[in-house]
Amino acid sequence: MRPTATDSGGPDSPAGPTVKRTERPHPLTPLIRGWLLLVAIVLAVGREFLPDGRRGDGFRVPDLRWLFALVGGAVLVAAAAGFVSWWFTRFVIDDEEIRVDTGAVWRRSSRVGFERLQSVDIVQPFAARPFGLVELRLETGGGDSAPTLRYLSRAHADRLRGYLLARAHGERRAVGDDPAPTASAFSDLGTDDRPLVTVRSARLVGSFLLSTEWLISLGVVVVLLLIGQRFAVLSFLVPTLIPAVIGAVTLVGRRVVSMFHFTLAESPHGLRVARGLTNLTSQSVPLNRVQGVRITQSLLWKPFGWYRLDVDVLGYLSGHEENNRSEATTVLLPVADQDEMVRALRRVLPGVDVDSIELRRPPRRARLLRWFDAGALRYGWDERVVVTDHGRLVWRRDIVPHAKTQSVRISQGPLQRALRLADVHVDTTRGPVDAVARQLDPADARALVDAQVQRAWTGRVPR
Amino acid sequence: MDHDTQRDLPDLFAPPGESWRGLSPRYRAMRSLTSAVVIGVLTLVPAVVVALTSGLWWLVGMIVAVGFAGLAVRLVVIGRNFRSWGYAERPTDLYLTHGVLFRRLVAVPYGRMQLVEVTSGPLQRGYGLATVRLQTASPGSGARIPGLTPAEAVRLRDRLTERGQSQAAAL
Repeated sequence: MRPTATDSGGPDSPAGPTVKRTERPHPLTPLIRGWLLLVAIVLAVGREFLPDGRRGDGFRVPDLRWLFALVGGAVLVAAAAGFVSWWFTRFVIDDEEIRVDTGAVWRRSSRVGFERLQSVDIVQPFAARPFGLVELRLETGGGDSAPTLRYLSRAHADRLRGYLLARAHGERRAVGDDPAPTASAFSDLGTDDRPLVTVRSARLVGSFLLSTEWLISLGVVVVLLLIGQRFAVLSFLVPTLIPAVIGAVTLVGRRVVSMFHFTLAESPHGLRVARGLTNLTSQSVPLNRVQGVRITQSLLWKPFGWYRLDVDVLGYLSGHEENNRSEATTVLLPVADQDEMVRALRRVLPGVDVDSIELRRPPRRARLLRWFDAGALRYGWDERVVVTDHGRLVWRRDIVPHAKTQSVRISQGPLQRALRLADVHVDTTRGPVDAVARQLDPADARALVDAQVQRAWTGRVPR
Repeated sequence: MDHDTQRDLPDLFAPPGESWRGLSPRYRAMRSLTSAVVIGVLTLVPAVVVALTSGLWWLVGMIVAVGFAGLAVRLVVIGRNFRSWGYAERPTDLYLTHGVLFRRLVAVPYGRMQLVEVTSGPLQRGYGLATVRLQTASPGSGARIPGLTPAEAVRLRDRLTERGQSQAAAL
């Protein structure tokens, strides 16, 4: 990040003698900013008004007029600010560099190296959809805020993404080479994307209704209602329950909305995930940067044979279950049957047949410490990956390629020491995957670590 | 410095090569002294207060006795903790072990180290000690070796970064 010497929208960096053609984002951008604020205000104010209306105060007209004036003013200010920031935002994406210059008073110019580019995501916020505009996010995996270009027209963003991804994979080509892909308004796929798995809406909703969070909150509400009825304090309980019910419903609703029409597709450079009902997000998953895979199946999903797939991708820091935001997600498949799961897995970890890996169990005395899921503990490896299983209520299987191993760890607590057991961790980058071979015999644990270090070395250094 | 700590470790935490390298004995001295000062203050202040206000000498004696017992336990714990530290440089990775109650052994490949730094606070500097810290892209495998002599710390850092560069692998 360095300040540019030029001001007043000077397009050219003083660094290069050649004059570069810089671009501004789409001219409708300031309008969208104002529009976004309007939508936000209307939603917030509307929420404030709802209880008032129910109370039967009635609207007082002068209030409303003032309100309109205020809202109008705020929208105008936002639009003006949007215009200024749009005017001073310029970007270059060409053969040499990616550079984004922003800021009217404090100028900042960020450059991103092509080789540091982890993923290029296209996000289409709900408010920008009527205008056909999108946001382009450049994920660098640095942990700092990703440079974002907002807003661009759909076709332009698609073209830039194709180019950037090609460059990130080391191909050299000109910016305009990519055939402009067409995309429909509801899915976010380009023409050269072949859908691999599409999650049907019914199954998505079903999977969320059977998710533990939902069932737990539902159970709490039901129990409270029963208690209320039993002790005749229902009228006191109901008002406190309403927020809880609303919270649970929004939780599920938000997930369904954000994961709606989830499509895993094959694109020229890795996989692509497109999802969303209101905000459309299309995100590329660079296969060579997948650090590990986690397969999850809760007990309730078992009868249906559903699985969930998560990946660790370098730079995606959201390692929590909560992947509701329109940002990059670590979810590869929110819900899939065995067939689709295997298909996706085969694509993410090519040449790995997890089923053929001989899985070992910990010694029987592990039952004393892990009485709840000792039967589910497994670990194993082949020449490409290491696999660990655990969990009975929610079964999880973590798969980490040797080549992506960051470090190998043994940990042993006092109880484990007394029972002669130890855990072996295979560390990966930040994310949902956490491969731990639990409760091994010390001799096995140490042998696993030494062998794993060796396998990581041979995996890392191809010969 | 080459203070070998071949001891009664179980197999699980056995050194990968011939033996672990331990920390500088000055590290134990530093921690012993800081503990002694802290426990001394915590004991003497109430003891003096009790002595001046009530003159219950048996209570003062008890407080001092508890303080001494605490210090003795603390010194044993520090000694065990000090002996538990060990590291070994292998051709492709660094092995590091520590911990008494919760024991840990970590093997970090040189090629995965993203950052190796030497730090030394005022207290450590007074004792002629330095800490080597290393980081990988994984939050779980950050490792720290406290209580090395500055020369050893710098040697280790240079060795790690040099090997890290020659063996660096793409993420």
